[in-house]
Amino acid sequence: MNRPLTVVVCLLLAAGITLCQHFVVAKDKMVEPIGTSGSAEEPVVTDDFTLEIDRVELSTSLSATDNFGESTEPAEANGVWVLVWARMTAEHTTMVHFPAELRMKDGTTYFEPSWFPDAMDRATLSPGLPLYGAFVFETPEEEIDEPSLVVTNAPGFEGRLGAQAVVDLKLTDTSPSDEPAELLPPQIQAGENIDASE
Amino acid sequence: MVHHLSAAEEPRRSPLPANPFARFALFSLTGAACAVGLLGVAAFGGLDTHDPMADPAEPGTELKNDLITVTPHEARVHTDDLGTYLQVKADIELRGSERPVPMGNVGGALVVHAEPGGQSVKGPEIDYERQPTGYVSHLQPHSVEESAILSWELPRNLDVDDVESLGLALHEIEELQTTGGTGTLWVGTNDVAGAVSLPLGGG
Repeated sequence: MNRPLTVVVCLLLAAGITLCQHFVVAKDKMVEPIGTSGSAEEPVVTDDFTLEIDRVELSTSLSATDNFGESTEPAEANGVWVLVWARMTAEHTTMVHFPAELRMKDGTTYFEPSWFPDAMDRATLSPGLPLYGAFVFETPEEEIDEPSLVVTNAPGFEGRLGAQAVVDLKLTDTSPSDEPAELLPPQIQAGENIDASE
Repeated sequence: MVHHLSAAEEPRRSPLPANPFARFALFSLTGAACAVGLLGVAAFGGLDTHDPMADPAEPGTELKNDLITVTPHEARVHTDDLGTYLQVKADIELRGSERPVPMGNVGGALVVHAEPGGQSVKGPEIDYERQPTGYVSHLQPHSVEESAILSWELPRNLDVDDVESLGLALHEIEELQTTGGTGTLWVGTNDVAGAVSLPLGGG
C-alpha cells in the first residue's frame, strides 16, 4: 500500500474534522434569536419586522405622561436618558411584545425601565402600519460606548428563535442635553410621504 | 553475606501499637467514643443552626453577595389605602451581571425579619423611591446608586405595635442555567451573606 498517500489522507481527514468542529453550535446558542445586523443609516429588515432608526436623543431629564395620560414632573435620570427614536413596521402578524435592549461594546446591556406608558415597549404593531416612537433607556453616562439597539420579536414572551434586529446606533456625541427630553406617544407614520405632507 | 534486620531492630515509624489486637481495640474504642458523643448531641436536640440575625450589623453597612450590593438605611411603617406595610429603605446595586436581572430573582436573596417575634418574608416587594408606584421589572447593571423600598405587607398574625425593629438578611445567591438555554436564573441559597438590624421609625 502506498504509505505516503495514507499519511496525507489521514492528515486531511484530521484537518477536516477539526474544521467541522467549528460549526457545532453550543447548546445554549441553539435557540438564540435569529439576528439581523445593520446600522442606523439604513432600515434593518428581519423576517418579522423592519426597524429604521431616526435619531438618538440624550438628556438628563425626561418629561413624560403617567398611566392616566397626565403629564408629570420631568424625571431626573440616574445618569442619562437615552431615547432612540425609530420607525418600526411589523411584516406579517400583529406584534405586542418586542423587548428592546441597549447593548454596549463591552456587552453591558440595559433594558427599558418599563415606567413610561408612551415608550415603544408598550406599543402594539399592526402589520404594514409603520409606528414612530421612542425606545427609552437609562444608563450611567460613562457606560455609553458604541451602543447598539437590539429588538427581538417575542410573541407570548418567548424570544427563542425569534426575529431580532441588532442596529449599531453610530453614536458619536455622548454628551447629554440639560433640556428635558419629551417623550411623545408612538404614532402611525408612513415614513417620508407623510413627513412631506405635514 | 546478607544481614536481615529482625523485627526488634527495625526502627518504629508508626505511633500506633505494634500488636494487632491492641490496634483493633484502639480503633474500636475511638469509634465507640465518637458514636456516644454524636448520640449525646442528637439526644439533646442537635446542634443549633447559625442564626443569621444573631449578630446583625449597623444600618448603613454594605451587604454583598455574588450578584448585588445592598446598603439598608432605615426601617419604617407605611400605611395607605391598601394596607399597612413594613418597609426597609435600601440602596441596591447590581455587581455580578452585565445583563439586567429580574427583580424577582434579586428579591429571592433578601429576607426581612420582624424583631422580636421572628416572622419573616422572603422576597419582599421592591419599588424605587423615584417611582414609588411604578413597576420595576429588572435591576439594571452598573446602575447609579438606586434608592429602593422593600415592602412587606403586615401579616395578619403580627401587630405593628409588637415590632421593634426589622432585620434584613442578604443570602448568598447562585446562577443556574435555565432549560431551553434562554438565559440564567439567580436563586438565593440558605447561606446568609450578612444581616443588618434597623430600629423601626414612624412612617
